[in-house]
Amino acid sequence: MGRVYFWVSVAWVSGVLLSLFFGLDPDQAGLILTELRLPRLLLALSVGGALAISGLVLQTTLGNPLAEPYTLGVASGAALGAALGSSWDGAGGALSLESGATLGASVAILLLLRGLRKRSRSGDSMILGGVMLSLLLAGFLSLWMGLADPSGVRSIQFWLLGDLGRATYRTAVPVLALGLVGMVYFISASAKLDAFLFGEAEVEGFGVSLEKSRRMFVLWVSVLVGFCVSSAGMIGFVGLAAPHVLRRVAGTALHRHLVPLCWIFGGAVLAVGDALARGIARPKEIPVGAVMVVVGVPVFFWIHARMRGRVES
Amino acid sequence: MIHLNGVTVSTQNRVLLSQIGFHAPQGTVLGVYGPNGAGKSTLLRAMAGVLDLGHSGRIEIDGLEISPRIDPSERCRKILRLGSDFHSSFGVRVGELFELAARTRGRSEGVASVLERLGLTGWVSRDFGDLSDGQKQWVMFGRALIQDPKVLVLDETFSKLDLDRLAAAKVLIRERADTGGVVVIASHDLNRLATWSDRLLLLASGRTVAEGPVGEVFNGENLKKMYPESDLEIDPEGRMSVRY
Repeated sequence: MGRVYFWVSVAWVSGVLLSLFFGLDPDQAGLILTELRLPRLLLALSVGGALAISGLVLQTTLGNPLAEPYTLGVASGAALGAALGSSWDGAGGALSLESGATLGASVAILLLLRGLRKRSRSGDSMILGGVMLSLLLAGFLSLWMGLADPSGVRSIQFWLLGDLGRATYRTAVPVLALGLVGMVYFISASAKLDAFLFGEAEVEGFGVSLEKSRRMFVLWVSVLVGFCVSSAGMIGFVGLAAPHVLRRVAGTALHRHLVPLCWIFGGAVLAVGDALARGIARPKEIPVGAVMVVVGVPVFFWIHARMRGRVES
Repeated sequence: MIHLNGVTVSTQNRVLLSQIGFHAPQGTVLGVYGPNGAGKSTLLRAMAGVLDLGHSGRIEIDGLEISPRIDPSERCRKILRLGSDFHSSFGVRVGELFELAARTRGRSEGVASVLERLGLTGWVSRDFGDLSDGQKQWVMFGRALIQDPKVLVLDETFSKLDLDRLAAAKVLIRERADTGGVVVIASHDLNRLATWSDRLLLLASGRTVAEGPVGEVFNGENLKKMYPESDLEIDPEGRMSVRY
């Protein structure tokens, strides 16, 4: 396992260096590094890590390898909640951007869990339901932004495609701190997460309370996704791909290893993705969410094909 | 060890179990039999405290009154129920399952001897998801033996085992009972139940048809009560056959 940690750390350092120095103008290096790239890197590492852990936890607790905040509509719920929350916050209301996003993410997960029968959760029905929910919530978000925000189109693009371009130390540090606390929580709860590896029916047989544990996990994921989406918009597929890659590379399904590895690797993936998003079409900048979708959709179909293969054999 | 008294489970429209009561002392292998929909799995899930519907009446396992509210870590030391279909989509290794089982029990002594008895020593690095259904059932049986609950409930757990493993399972189940445990087995193979069990509980439409030692309960009269429309025969050696 030490070797896996080593190579994942190498990926993380590579992502950090690429994100900081790729395409850097030497004349203004100092200013760009401290004021633009460093906060952006911090946000990429924090959001990527938190989304990867969220994907891992959703996959395990729902027993669905295709689950992640983006495919289940949780990210859309957070984006809608954040947009509504920020509007009300501006009007002096009680909801802030982050709490609105967390609430939106929680409501989306609860809607999905309530809307699907137990047996539908592990199969394609959950993903289909998640995609429909995601489209519905994204539709509401577009309507709301179009009606409420004078610069609506730009804002819609931020929420729907994800963008690290608005990163500041003020947005990055809370996500970093929360992600680290979340990681420590999920490492401490790794034995409970392991009990979900054989489906809901077996959880209590391993001495773990199904409902109590799942409630805590869903709450934590909602908070993590809420903070991620409120600071960087909807960024998909980090939460899908990172856990699958790490299960294969590490050769383990146990969470005491997967949780920290996901945090490190998810951050690295998003840092590299962001460097690509900045560098592909210079001087234009592509939203990092678009890069992640282009890379992530083939990964989705690969996992889906493997799932099908297993069912048919 | 197991005391049930007046156990009733119902939904809004239907009574699934009605006034079930029996006692199974230490060292018993109890077979549970009944037609489809008789309430076998409902009863076994209620006994294991994992029935969402809840129940009325009293279920007591080794001095602990069972309900879904009891802490699962305490409950699963007393009683563990295995079903028949197992799956995992996450590349979990067989050895990791055994590690989980040992962790749940709180100690890892005895794991190696269980694996050796079941012929699973070389399986620890295999992906659980790649096993056949019968192999999964066998591995899960190994997990249950590692967890070592006071009462082991096997709800059609051996439905896909091959003949060699069935023979090994029979020996291991008898050993558990002889060392003070209780094993409850539900199966649609009545001949197997009659051979493996000390006592039988026969159910039909959520009610007890008969309960007691196999020699007293396993007879044509009781079977007729469960299958009034069928043409049943029991030969002098106790084997049952049905004329279709």
